Amino acid sequence: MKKIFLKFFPIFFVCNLYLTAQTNLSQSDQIQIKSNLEFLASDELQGRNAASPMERIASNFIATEFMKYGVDPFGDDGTYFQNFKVHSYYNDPGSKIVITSDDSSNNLELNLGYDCAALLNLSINPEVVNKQFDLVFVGYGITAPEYGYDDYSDIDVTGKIVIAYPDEPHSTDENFFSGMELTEYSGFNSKLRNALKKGAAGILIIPGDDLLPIWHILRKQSLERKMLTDNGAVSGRKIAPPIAILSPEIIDGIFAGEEFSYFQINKIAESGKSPSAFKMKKKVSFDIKTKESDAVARNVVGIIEGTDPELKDEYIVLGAHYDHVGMLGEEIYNGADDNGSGTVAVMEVAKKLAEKKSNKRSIIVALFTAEEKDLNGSKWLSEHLDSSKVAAMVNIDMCGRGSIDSISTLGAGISSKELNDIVHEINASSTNFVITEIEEHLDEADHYPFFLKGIPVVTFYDAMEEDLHKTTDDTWKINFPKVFKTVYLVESIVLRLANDFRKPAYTYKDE
Amino acid sequence: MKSNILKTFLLLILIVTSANAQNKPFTDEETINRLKANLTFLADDALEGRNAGSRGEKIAALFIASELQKYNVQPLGDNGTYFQSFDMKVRRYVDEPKLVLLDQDGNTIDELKPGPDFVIDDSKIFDSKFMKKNAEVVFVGYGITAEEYDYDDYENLDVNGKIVVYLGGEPASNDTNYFAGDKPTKYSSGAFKAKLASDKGAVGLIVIMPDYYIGVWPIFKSLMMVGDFKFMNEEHSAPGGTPYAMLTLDGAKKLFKNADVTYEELLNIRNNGAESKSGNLNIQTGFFYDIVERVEQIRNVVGVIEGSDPQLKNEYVLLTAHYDHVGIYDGDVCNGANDNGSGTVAMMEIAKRFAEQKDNKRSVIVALLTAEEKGLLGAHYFARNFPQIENVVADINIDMCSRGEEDVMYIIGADRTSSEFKTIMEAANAETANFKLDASLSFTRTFEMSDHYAFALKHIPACFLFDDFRDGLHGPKDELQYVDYNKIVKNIKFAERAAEKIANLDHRMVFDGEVEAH
Repeated sequence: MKKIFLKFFPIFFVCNLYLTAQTNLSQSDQIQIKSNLEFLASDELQGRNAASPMERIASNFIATEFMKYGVDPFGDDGTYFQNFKVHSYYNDPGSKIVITSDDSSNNLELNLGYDCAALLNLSINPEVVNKQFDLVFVGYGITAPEYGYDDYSDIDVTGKIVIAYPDEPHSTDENFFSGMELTEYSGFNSKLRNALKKGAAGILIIPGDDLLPIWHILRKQSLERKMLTDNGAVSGRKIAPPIAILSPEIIDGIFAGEEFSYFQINKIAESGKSPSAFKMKKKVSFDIKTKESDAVARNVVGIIEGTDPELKDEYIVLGAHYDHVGMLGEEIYNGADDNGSGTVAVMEVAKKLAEKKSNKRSIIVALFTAEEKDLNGSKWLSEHLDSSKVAAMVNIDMCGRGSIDSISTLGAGISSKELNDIVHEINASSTNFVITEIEEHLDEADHYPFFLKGIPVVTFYDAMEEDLHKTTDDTWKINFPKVFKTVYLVESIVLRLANDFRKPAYTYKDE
Repeated sequence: MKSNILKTFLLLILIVTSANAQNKPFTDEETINRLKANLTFLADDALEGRNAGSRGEKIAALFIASELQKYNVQPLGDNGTYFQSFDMKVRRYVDEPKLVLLDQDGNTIDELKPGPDFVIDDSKIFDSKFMKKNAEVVFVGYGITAEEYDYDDYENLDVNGKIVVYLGGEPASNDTNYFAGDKPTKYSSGAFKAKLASDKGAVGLIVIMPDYYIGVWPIFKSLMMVGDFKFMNEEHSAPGGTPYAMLTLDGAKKLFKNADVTYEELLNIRNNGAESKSGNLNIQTGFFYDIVERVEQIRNVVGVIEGSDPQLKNEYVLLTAHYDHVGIYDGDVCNGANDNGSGTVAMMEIAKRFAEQKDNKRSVIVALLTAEEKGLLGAHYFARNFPQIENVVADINIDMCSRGEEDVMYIIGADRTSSEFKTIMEAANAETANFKLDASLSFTRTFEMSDHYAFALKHIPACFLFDDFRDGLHGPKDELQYVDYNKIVKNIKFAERAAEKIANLDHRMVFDGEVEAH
């Protein structure tokens, strides 16, 4: 389900076919959506990183639009902004892993964020920074007693840094590493745990099938901020031994001048043998500094008050995150789809709902910050609302890519059968998307904190992967008619939820 | 009786006409809501004072373009965008310049700060042989040697290798045979004094600010740090000359702390015409700062509402307002809500109305201009580079329209550039805002102080609407809370009506005035 194949093609000229049938938007509303996205996803906004100056620009912009749409402020002190303090940890840009050889001819400096990646939620133990370690190649780095297999059998790695080859021994024998299928030994976590169990001081990972597809995200995250709010909603950063993932492009250099070159190691692995462990000539040290900073982040929150004297005290939360991942060096991550598309779609839904003013329950329109930093913005709002008053939460996280005929949902089926039925029913009578219900990623979008509070939730999601968290997630690739369709669908669902006397029941049972 | 009937009749026509003409798509309430929203964005601290060349300028331009697109105003910039971008050579201080005060032994005792204590004009680069060196400081009265009046401030003084401090102006006199009485002589000129001091070997010049500068002090203060902009085909002033600073009285107080001539004596000479005297300041100072030059791109935001007449649409009525401001000064963001946030949102709104109504035979261009605060640069660029500039029939420029009395506006330059323009503006006003219009500044230097001037130089009838906001101009208090939105709405109706009249005239207004470049 995760690997949906996305056919992508420029759709601008095809789109007119859909305009009348599948949107409820006027020409000027369509221009407005496009114009809003061009603003938010332009280079000038530098990737809308949470708690950065550009977060303020983006949030001001959204608030300015709300004012024009007649959406009332629902933030702090009569403003549209819900501010909260955040404490951030981050690796100093300029951090690097230094690899030295005896004759210095094969010395390497691996710049964090470019040549290697660190894990965002782990801080390197300050005691080992800049300390020099021996380096040991440990083959696949696997100890699997049930297969009589141990890469560590002939080598002592105590106090040393190990480098592990990706994946696991090739096998066609079902009784040896499950044959063609990968076992859990092939994964990054398992190799890491095993290395530490064997007494290694740390590990350098050569990315395999599990990490290569997200390598660009990992390297970007190395220089991002781990953000904690002062309500303790996010667990603290952990101190850890040196753990790094190596760029596929620098592996050859690391084995240059060693007993085996990486080319030779690859040859051995391809032939079906396991490359054996050896002590390397090079040494390694970690010049990685962790820094901390305090800042204020803000959600943009508006309200369209309900018309029913009783029901208006209940809420539907309509949400999307407006932050993205900022910059890496000079590269800008515009996040047109993630989540410029959801942001402008929600803004438009809010505009239409404010024009109609036919909602009995009140609708809280929330553009969240810091989704890219562990959902901090949505967590904050969920903790500052009386969840017993929230009838449902509807969220959009990416809706401008992929086929115009399909969309995915997260959270609906698991949180509320009734909500899920409403989604399908309304879709069937309006937009007619082929809906894919995704069961993974439940904790990866802003509905999640509301789900944890016992609220029926649904996130609409286009499942775009090819440009996710890449500098190529740009406005020109957005399929606007799909955004218009999503607006139509979400508006109809929100209005239905706001006006049905009965609230959808929360049906998730933790087993 | 008869005349009364006629009056009533005329009045009726007027009412009917204005009722028709007021059949505009938006209520005042809607307009004010939109003005507020747009201005709240543009005048927020996040835009860092919209200084030309800064991040805030880029965001402001992007925002305006995004709005024009929503208003269905067509792009008229580069490559189908709303932006007319161009490069400038910019000279800026690396850090704030300072004059550090040291005692005779070389210990630092105080520091003069740019802004509150002194300004250095125009980011000029002085002769490097004088820079970054401490020197003794001498007060030399007015800094004048005038043999014909047997007057010499430098008598018995050796200023070679020293920094001289002098007063602006010349000795006070009622005697026409002594410094020409109350008329200024050549000896009062700054250039004359600077040459004299340099000839005597002075290595730095500090002038105590004359009163007439103190009135416009905030402008100097704000302009000093924002950089000196030149078009790519122009040159900055060549490095050279003796370093030169202008000192406020606050600065003078610090400088004269240990002086042979006390601060009180100095004031007595300066303010009361007491006899001048010279003396050591028993202090050292020097000019220490670095300047960086680089190319920066800035941009106008330009859109057009095409005219409905097949012929006349090739002529243009130009509506201008600058959107840039002066940036951050001394840690305070100068938000420029009135200067010229007010004119910017007014012109955006007028553009929206034209785009909605399409009642213009000639095309209407709306140009939100950059770098007005650096010398009308966006306007000059547009005037020199818009290919159809010959077909621009008029420019209406708004530079500040939300402060002061609600029923008073200055109208500057219509009468100076075209007698018909004046008549049309007055008629438009009478039909809409009914401001008390004050045209008294048309023939003063104020005429040269906003963007319309660049078009007047091209002999295009051009006028400038101005609310006469001066107190607090270019300071951190030009904030949203003081903005009178009703006054902006009145200006919108006024300028829109005038533009509509000019756009639909059956002939082209004639430029019959006199405007020269300085």
